Amino acid sequence: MEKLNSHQWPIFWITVAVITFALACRLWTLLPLYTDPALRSRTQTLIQATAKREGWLLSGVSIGAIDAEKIQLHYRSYVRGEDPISCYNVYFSTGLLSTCEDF
Amino acid sequence: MRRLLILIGIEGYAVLLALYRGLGAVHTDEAKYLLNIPYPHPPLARGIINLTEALPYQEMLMRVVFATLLVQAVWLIARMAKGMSPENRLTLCGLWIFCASVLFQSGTVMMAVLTALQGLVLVWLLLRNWEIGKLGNQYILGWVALFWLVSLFTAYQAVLYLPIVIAIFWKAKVHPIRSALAIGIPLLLVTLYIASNPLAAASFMNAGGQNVGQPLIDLVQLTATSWLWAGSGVLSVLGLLGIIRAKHWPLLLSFVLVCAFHVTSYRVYYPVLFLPLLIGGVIASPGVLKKSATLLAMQIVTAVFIFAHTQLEFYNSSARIVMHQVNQLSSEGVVLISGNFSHSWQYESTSPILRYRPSLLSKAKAVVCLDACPGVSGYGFYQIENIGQEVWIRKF
Repeated sequence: MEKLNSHQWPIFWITVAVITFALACRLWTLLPLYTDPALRSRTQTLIQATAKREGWLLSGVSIGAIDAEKIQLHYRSYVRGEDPISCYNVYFSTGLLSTCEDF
Repeated sequence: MRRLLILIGIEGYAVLLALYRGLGAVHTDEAKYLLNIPYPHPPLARGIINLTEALPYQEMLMRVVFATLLVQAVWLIARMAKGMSPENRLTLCGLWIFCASVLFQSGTVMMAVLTALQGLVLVWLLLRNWEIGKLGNQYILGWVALFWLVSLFTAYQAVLYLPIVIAIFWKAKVHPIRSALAIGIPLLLVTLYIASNPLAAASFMNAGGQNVGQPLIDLVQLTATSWLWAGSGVLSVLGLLGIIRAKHWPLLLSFVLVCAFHVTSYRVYYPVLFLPLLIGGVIASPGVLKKSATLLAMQIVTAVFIFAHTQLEFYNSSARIVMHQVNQLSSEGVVLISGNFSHSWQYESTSPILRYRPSLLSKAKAVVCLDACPGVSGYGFYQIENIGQEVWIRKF
């Protein structure tokens, strides 16, 4: 226990570093949403319209990648047992969906 | 042997409370944690809960685990009250066991329960007599910082205990910069988590503003009721009295934060957040436990009174009844639901659930109409009867 106690601060800092890295990766993906208010607004509208059309629950939608042309969306159906996950590209110009395998 | 018997007795009590809760329906927030739906709270606890998803009785198992954690926390309270007379110690343990928030929240799979327990550990760390032995605060501050980080990544509400964490570091006389980093970095990380999760951020904003527009007097009344409910009246009054008498500022500040949190975003499962502070108040000022036997008797009578006057919910939810039927269908396809529905529908379903749209009928094996379902009757579905909801199944 004494030996473990001597490592408590390194354990804390390593945990902080791991979480920071994971969050930084996630924030990097979403960075365009923070730097471009117009894109943020268009993204919100597009995701809501797509979710409405496809019958998706917003809690299952996550953004995989985003650029000026399209958003990559992951949709996860939360159910008892294994959750089906699908990946789509949604274009700002048309609003249409295509599965990620097409690309 | 005596301890083992007490432990088994208390565990029996915890299991009974979990079974009592299990007789009702799965709450929408419980479903979120059981299925690991990624909002509003960070992923630590719900991720761990979700590891048990494959087990057939996951819901009941988790209810028993949560009830066990809350009820068996009485051992920590007994340890915290070590300096008290045996009679006062027993009274304090009894006050915990028989308070309404333990009775009614111990079988719920809610993050508030875990946060309250984490708050209790923080109160213990704050009130521990650090002068004895070499295990002083400064020897475990790294663990305290890690525990603080874990608490924040269990649920945001842990921030309500921030004054206690600051006081722990303050008492340990650590270098201020180190303290600021140990306390501040976990807060910064949880803020970054919110920023990286738009759904959590939206949910967070929504919860923060949900009471806007309600008269202040109603909110104050709601908060006061929650505080009284938390400790079944007796512990509520004694705990607050203890905090004020001892002029224990960290506990008082946390108490004020919990009250403010109730005012801005009240939920029925938040009273338990008061509990660790009330226990801390009694320990900080043991003088409030005069005539302890009478106080314990009053607490038990109040608990029985509350229990007797609470509407018991012994029913299966619509979600469970309907999805039990739908899950038995051998066909593939999604389930469409029209109208507003909670996450408990997802928890009861083994098939993906989508919101009802007539254009999605071709993908559906069943349609549940909590609201109007235009077009379903002409699309090769037949309605099943005697199920309490309008449910349509695909014809073959």
